[in-house]
This record gives sequence, structure tokens and C-alpha cells, in this order.
Amino acid sequence: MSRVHIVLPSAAAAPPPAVLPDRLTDLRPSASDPFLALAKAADLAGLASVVVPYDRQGPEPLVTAAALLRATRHVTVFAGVQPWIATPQYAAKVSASLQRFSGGRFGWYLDGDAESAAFAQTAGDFWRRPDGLPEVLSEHAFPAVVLAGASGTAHLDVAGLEPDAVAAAIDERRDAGFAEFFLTVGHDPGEIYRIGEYVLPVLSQERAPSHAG
Amino acid sequence: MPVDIYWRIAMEGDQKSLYEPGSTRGGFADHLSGGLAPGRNRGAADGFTHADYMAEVVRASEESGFVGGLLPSFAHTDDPWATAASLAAETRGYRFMVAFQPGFLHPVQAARMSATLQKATGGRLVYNIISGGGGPQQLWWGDTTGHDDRYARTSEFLDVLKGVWTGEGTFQHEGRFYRVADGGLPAALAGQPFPEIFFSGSSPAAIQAAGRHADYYLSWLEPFEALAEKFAAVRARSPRPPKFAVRIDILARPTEQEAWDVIRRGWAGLPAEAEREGGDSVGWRRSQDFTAGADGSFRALQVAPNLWGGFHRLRPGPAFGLVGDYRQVADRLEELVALGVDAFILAGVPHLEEARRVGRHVLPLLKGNPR
Repeated sequence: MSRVHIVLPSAAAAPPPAVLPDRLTDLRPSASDPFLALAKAADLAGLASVVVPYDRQGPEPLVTAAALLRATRHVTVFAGVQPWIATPQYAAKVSASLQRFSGGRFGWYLDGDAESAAFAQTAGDFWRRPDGLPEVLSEHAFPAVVLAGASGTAHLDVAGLEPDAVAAAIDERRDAGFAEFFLTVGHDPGEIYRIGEYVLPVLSQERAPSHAG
Repeated sequence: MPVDIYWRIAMEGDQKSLYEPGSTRGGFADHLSGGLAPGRNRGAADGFTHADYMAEVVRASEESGFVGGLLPSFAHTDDPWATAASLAAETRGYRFMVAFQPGFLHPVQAARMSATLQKATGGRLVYNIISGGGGPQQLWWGDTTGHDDRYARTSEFLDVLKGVWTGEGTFQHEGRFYRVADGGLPAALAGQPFPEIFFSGSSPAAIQAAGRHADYYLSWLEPFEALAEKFAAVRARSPRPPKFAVRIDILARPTEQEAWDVIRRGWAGLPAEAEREGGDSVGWRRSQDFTAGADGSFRALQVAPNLWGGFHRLRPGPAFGLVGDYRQVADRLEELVALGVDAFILAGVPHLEEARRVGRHVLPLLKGNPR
């Protein structure tokens, strides 16, 4: 079963809002979180997850992930977690609350290095051992962990690509044995809706309903 | 000077009353009919979470006149950063006072999380910096730093955090606990107001550190003379004296008798007092000394008019709070303002209903009483 995830783009690359002509009444709210619309699009489109990668030039992933989890219903939200940010125990504690608040939809997106793996191991042990997190806080499983570059995961930059091209790129890698597709998207939520509508049916061997007649 | 009044958010769930121990709210007990967020609805889990309950407390306090909420942090509670980040978009003017222990977070990470929250809220993040009650709790977090060293580390942590905040990629730090090269926030996060700092701690080491960093020195409620002495000690050690804040449990009812009846009901159902787990909190030792020698009656713990030192027996938390009718409680708060208190963090159990009660019946009695 193939699953499609989106990886949020760099916040620094977000285009400014379109400039409306003076003669138009402009009641648009001031720019809100640029990632909110992308995460909601992934949620509505039935994608598996939203990845908030660690980005030195962007907002902090745990804070962003918390907001995205609260605004969505189904997607898993992976936050880029770096081993230097906190003690592994405290990272587990923060994560436990995000799991509780989201019904177990929070995950960690880690660099595939030994330090990150050790950090996750210590945090996971703390989560599970009897003298670690209180049972009520760790009622959900430890956050799902995705290691960047792990085998079986394909990472594709699909920003600006048409759905056919996305489907073709995924198909090619699926034939090579990949099952998890992490798609770095652009800032247009429309791209994500189209992935849901045009790419997911192809992957599940479904066909879009015919509107003929 | 305006007085800022916050309302505590119960991060450990919430009791359904002060006289019925144990959380029924927030998912800290079995999900039963009558449990609030989460509970059961028509025989099935209702899908609510503790965040939904806290969101309701936040709404109640925002609508009732509180400027924000203290989100405390203990081993058994949900996490304040996770909570503030989850609920930020659901409020407009409400300030999130995030309690945290510097020992568990890197200051660069704290700067990035804070700036992200400041951006999301338009500058509504407030810090409650705690350096820990010590003992087994600190070891549980993986922190082996000793008591006085923790305050030195807190001091250095805040130096680094402030340096990174304005560093623009040029902040350098080589200290005892932290090392940062070319520190600063990215353009997307820079330029936000630095959060106000509420600083807690009753020991000399804490007061020393507060003197350097605190916008507000925050104390649990104590007998008023003791509080005044503590504030004087902080002023004496501060190159720039902070403002003062007090964390107070409120039990206010239309009549004083009704308020004490709530205590009486809770007291009647108490088991024998268990020894508190070891730790090195100076604030806790002080609060116990104020009621040393009291007999077993709840009335013996009233050390001054409306000032009662037995709240810790009825719910987790500090000992002292105010018990009385609405006017008496408002009058005691006014006396504290006259002592130099600039901000309050009030609380009541259950936090949801009591936020609206105190907002409706006690806060209006403070208005029109300028210092």
C-alpha cells in the first residue's frame, strides 16, 4: 500500500500575497501561517501526512506542528526534531502532549544520523519504561519516526509539477519497490488538492468517476 | 499602574470540585460518563481531548477579564509549549504564560520556539522561568545539576536566549553551560518583542538570579508580612527592581460561610496526610513553616483573615489561598496591591467554572480602586 506525504517548503521562499488593484476593496486578513492552508489541503485530500522539516530559516517545527495538528483531523504531522534541541526526556514529554491532543497523529522526522537515532532511542525508552513518562501521558504510542533517506521512502520535489508528472514520477519509483512517497510541495494548496484528486486514485488502482453523459 | 490578572490553566486535568479529589477532566482518569473532555457520549468515546478542555478554560478566562493564563509544568502534567502552540490560534488578546525549566531545553531552541509563538500570537507569549524543586523530580528529567548551580545555569540560559534573540547571526557565547557561535534568529522570526519574564524561586540563589532577569518576581501566596519581607529582599538584591506577582488560589462565594463550607466538605473526606516526596524547594518549606504546630482542624490553618494554608490537601499545588466572600477576597487582593503586587495568577477548582465566577463576582470589585 503506497502512501503519499507532503513535505512543507521553506517558509523563506513563500511568495508575497498578490497585489490587488487599488480600485478593488481589499478585505484580506494579514498574512496568516503560510503552512496552515497546505496542511488543511493535505487533510482534505486524504494524504497520509504533513512533514514540517527543520529549517534554519523558518519557524520552529514543534510549535508549527502543534498548530497544524489542532487545525486538522486525519493527517499525521511530522516535526523535524534535532537531537540538540532538548533532553530526550523533555522531547518525549512535549511529544506526549501532542499525541494526546491529536489522538496519536504526531510524528518525528529525523536526520538519518547516529546521534538522531540515539536521541530517539533514549526518548522512546523513557516513554515506555515504568519509571519514565506517567502512564496517562504515554497512553498513545511513541510518535511515528521517519528517518530522512530511510530505505523504502522516496523523496521527490514536485513543486509546480502537473499531476500527471507527479503520478509518473511516483509510478516509476513504485516499480522500483518504494512505498512511502514524500513530496516536497510548493506554496500553492491547489497543488495538494490535485495530488489527492488525480494522483491518489492512480496509486490505489482506482479510476476517477466518469462524468460522461 | 494597571494590575495584570492571569488565571491558571490546570495542566494536570481538573477536579470536578475542590472537595472531590482526583481529576475527572482532561483525560487523566478512565473515560467515564460524566468525565469532561474526554468522556463518553452515547456509550462511545466522545473524541475530545485535554486540549479541548483547556481551550474552554482559556475562552472562559479570556471572556471573564483575565489577561492570560499560567500554563504550569510538572512531570505529571501536559506540556505548556505544546499547549500554547496548539491553542494560540483560538484566542485574540490572551497571553500564554509558559512555565519551563531552562535545564531541559537548549536556549537556541527556546528562542526559536518563542519567536515562532510570538509571531503566531502577535507577541502574547510570557515566560514563567522555574529552576526546579530539586530531588527525584530533577533526576527524572535527566537533570543532575545541583540547586544553586541550576540558578547559575538559568541565568546563563537567559543571557544566551536574549543574545540569540537580537543576535542577527553574530551572537557569540562561550560559557559554563552553553556555547553558541554566530547565533541569531532567521529573518522570518526576528524582530518580535521579547517575552516578559516571571521568575520564581524563594532561595537566596533564586532571588539573586531574579534580580538580574525578572520583569516580575513571582511568589506563591504567603502571610502578607512574609511576602513583604521577601519582596524587600528581592528589591535589595536587584540592580533593576522587578515588579511583583503572586500566585493565589481563590475560594470565593456569596457568603464567607458558604466558602468555608466547601473547605469543610473537602476536609471531612481527607485521608491521613501523606509525606510529600523529597525535594529542595525552599518555597515549599517556607509554606509549611507558616502552619507548623497547627492542630488537625482545617480552621487552625487559617493564619490571617481569609488566608488559609491547607489548599494542598484538597488539590495538588501550593498551600496558601484566600477563602471568603467576594468582597473579602477582593479586599485581600487590594491589600496585596498596596504591598506592591503588580500582577496576580489566580486559580480555583474547577478552573473552568471558577474562572467565570471570579471574573464575574470578584474582579469587578477591584475596579475603581486605583493605587
